[in-house]
Amino acid sequence: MSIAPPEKQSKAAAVEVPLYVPVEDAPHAPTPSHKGIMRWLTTVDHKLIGVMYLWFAAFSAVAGGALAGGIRAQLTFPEGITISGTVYRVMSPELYNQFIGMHASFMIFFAIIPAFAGFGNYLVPIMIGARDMAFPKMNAFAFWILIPAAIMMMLSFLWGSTGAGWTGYPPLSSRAYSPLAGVDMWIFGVHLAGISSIMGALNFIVTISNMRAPGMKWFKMPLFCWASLVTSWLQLVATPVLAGVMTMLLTDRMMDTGFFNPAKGGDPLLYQHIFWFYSHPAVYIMILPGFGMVSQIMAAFAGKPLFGYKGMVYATAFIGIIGFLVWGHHMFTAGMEPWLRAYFSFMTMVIAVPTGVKIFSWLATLWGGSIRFTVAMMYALGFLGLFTIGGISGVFLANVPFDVQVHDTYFVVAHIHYVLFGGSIMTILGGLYFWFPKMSGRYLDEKLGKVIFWLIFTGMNITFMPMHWLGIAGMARRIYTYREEFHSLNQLISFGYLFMLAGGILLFGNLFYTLIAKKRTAPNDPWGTNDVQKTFEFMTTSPPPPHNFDRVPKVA
Amino acid sequence: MNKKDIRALVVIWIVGTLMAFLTAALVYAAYPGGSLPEGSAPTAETATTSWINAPASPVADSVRVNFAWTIAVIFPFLYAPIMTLIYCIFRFSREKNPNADQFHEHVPLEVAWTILPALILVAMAVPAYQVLVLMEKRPTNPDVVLDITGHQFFWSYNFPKYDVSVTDDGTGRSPVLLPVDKDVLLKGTASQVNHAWFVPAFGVKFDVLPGRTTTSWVRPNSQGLFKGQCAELCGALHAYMWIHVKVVPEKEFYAWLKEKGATFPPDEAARISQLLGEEVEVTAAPAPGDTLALAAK
Repeated sequence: MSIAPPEKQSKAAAVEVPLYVPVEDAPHAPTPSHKGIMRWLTTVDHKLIGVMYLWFAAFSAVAGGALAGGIRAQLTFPEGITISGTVYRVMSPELYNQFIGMHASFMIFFAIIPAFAGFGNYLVPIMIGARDMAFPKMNAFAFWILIPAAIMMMLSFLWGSTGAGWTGYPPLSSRAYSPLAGVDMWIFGVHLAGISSIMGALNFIVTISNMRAPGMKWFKMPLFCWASLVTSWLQLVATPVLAGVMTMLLTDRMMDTGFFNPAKGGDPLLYQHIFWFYSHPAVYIMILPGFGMVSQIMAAFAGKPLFGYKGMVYATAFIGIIGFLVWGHHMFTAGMEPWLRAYFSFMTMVIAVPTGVKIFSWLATLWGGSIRFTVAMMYALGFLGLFTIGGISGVFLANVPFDVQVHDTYFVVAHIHYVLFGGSIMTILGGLYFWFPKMSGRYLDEKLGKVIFWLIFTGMNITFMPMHWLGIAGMARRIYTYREEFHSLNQLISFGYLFMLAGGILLFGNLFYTLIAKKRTAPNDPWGTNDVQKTFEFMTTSPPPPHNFDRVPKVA
Repeated sequence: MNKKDIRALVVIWIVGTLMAFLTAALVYAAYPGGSLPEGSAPTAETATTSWINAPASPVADSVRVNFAWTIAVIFPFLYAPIMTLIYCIFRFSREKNPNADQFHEHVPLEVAWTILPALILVAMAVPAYQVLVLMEKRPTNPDVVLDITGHQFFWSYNFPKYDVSVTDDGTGRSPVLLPVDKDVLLKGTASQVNHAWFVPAFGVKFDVLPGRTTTSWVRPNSQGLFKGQCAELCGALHAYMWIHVKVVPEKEFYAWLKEKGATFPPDEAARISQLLGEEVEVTAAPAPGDTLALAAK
């Protein structure tokens, strides 16, 4: 097939050979056929598509965060503000239900999943030594279909949006109890986002399976590529199931079918099973790429290789497979058979084992290392602590008697935000700071970055730690108001939001300022970490040329 | 890394385990459970009761105990990794440790940290499973059967044996009553959308769905007014679907039923009349050809 690299090759030679020669000297350097905005609209270059995914995710996160601000505003003044006898409510209960549903839908489908698609798109082809993804045009389509998806979802607010949460359980989400078109538009938004997911997944699987550079065997691939591969398999297998259940809900609403309507012989419980069959793997889709990024970042800034690479690969694959078998733990109070509850509880505990292996392996990577506290590393370290907390509350939720007490309470809200914010978002921010110089040639401000980190880290804990207690005390979730004794903790939680808001504003400000005002100064290896890392993206220029490398890199 | 670091690591894990057991002991001591003392019955104004601060059934109390045990076995994996992380941050910075060790695997260690957590999860799972069995053991011969129906946005209750229906108006002034120390079978359904009946002090939460009957059970062992709420998003006023259950002595329970116009089955009527000190209305025997009523018995 291709020429295998010589076995005994000195390390120095593998790193020193430049992989990029100036454009004028390169014999077949392509020139882009468009400039300016047309270049972005017509590109099939995985790097530009990756950057567009990241911008899309960033703006969606702003929208999701604004919705969260609305939720916190309502929960700070649950019965409104009374000024000279008149009660001014923050929002109506109907609008509040829409806010909570859309906050989750936006963060899941338009912020976190596209952010990882963006990093994957940008980095995976380069890391495996390919020039682009296997299907560049489908790659572009997978991104662009997210635009109408997001527009559909946002516009749904004009027609009552979804008052049934991002989970959309019927009968509440059926035509009878959500008569306006908002739910239909929400369903279409989810469908289009799902198409994006499936196409992206296909692309990643084919690219990683077929286009690795000579010598890059499976167990020489960077861990981020493994994470992207397993995530893609999850997306490919699970997302069509989501499409199925959404379609059934849509036909129930529009064509009077009876899948979930008891009066027609259907069953609302069926929806929950099919929905969660997708939505549990979805949470692994939303964390596994982050695990991969953190592995790269930690090894780089600890100055030593990742501990237990093979164990990490197996753990990632195991989490992916078992992730399909635990969906019932979202439904412990739904009325399942007793033996089924015991089974799902058992499997959920099983999946805690490989997750623990990963946490120990990261700690062992840090142990004995020579840690540089760049902003990217601080996010990786923060992730490790916060995700441990989220993982532990998850183990508690696997305990059925305890879960029955705290299901649909703020304990669950605490758990999901520790793993999605303390987990996924922290990895995304770490990845941003780590690979930003590679993508743009410029460094984000490290000093300001540390301020932003502490604002976000502190705010996150002030907001989500008290929620564990609120859930145990019995405060249900998705509620517009609550018992008086929960008031002071809710005010504290809203105070924490302000820290995160400040951090987010500073981050966006620095992002725009850096891209507009700073010059490109980053070398091939912006952090000086590739003597340990040895990943290909740090062997080419910052940013890489359109064709990534002139010569396909040699695997060390 | 050197011998001092290895020693520090061992100390961290021992201390983490001890801290976990200490946390569990503190939680267990702070929330001792047991029946509410006479006269301290919660009113509508006092703090929310839950399975941890005022368990009012054997299931709730078992959950409380199991929670403390779970903290003891699981929290080592919360404290020790975080302490290890903090140790690494201070000890293995580039300034303190300029030459990083280059080890990147250790198979015996990796095997150990796969198997040991699995065994500890078993230690958590076995007692949890026992509480689950208790939760699933619905009384085969319940003293009281309570039918619960969730509506948008209130709860209605029916005692089929006594033909009494009440509705909770959400204010706490019209609670449903249950007798203390009696097995109550709860049968739930919904009229329109999904709801969930959740009374934290009883350790009870179960979804109610239209077109299905789901069940749970409770044996309230403390007297008082216990609050709960709907725990499944059901529409705009989901937050206002309050639940109020008042647990009272048997006599008060039957007096309340009588006041609501109950008819009592013949086999119970005599005993209840004696308890209340007055005659009670007996459920009329079904007519000889009334197959429906006969089937309902």
